[in-house]
Amino acid sequence: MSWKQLLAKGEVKVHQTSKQELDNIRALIARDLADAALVGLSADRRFATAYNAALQVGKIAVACSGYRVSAKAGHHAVTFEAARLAIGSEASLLTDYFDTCRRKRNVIDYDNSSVATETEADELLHKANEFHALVERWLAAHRPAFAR
Amino acid sequence: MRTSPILDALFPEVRTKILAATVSQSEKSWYLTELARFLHTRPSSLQREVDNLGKAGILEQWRDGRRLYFKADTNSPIFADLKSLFDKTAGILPLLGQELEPFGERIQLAFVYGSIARSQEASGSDVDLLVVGTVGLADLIPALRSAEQTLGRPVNPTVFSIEEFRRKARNNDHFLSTVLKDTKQFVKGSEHELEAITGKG
Repeated sequence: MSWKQLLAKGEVKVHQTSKQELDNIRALIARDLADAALVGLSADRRFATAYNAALQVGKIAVACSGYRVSAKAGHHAVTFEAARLAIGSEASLLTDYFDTCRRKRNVIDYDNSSVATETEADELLHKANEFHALVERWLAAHRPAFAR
Repeated sequence: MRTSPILDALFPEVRTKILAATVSQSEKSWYLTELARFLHTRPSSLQREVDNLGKAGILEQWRDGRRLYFKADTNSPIFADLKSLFDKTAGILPLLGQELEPFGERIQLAFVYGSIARSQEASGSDVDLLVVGTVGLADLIPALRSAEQTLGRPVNPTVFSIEEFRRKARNNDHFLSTVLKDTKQFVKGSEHELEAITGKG
């Protein structure tokens, strides 16, 4: 899907980001990456927290491309799709992975406990860190005004 | 072979079994005694259905010496539809096995649990898949996406390292205990290998 199609479907809106907005999102990512590494938390909670870090990283890529995802049903899936659109095919393995994690995270938050394993929580934290580094590299190369 | 309520509603049991075997292994030629052994039944119980499927052009039959061979007729106009139907129902395990095979020894154990394993699925049921080994969820996703497209159902994987699986099985973890007590359909490994990992007999 293209930005034009996402706009036409009302999935994204044109948006001008600011240093303040990006600083806020970066602080949120730092908090969630640190919390997701806490050994005392359940695997479910670590998984959901690392997932949120990845979602916020996706938001940075979308915001720095001049858009924000509309707040409606399915906006997490759209965030990962739009982040892949922003960064390109280099991000597609990671965004496909996060989209699968999204389904698991929905079950964790609303239906069952003990859904995520420790193995999965560790992996998701690792991948969220990887995604964060990828997006910051992409900003430095393609959107230097927004680089850290 | 796993059964499916969808197939049970569509075909009599013997016909379902013959079609599942021949359509999902469409390249293979069978003779009656061989198929009966594969399906754990008597050749005489298959004879009439095999003849009828042959007359309908769903199976092709030929004689070699004294033995009558048959296989799925892949030139039949309904072969692709039948294959799709059986892939989506009885063919879940072979398909997952094929998708997971390239991971080799990185997967020690893989099984389907939940409504599909119990053959109680509805048409929209997800495939719940538990994998034990050194693979990650990220490694499995391309293979599982491909399986989802063929099956027309979401596949929900749960991935354990061997260490975590063993520890949680021994500590009677709530989720794992529930899964292990329930019906399982093995994609890789067996009940024996599962017991070897958990140390529980």
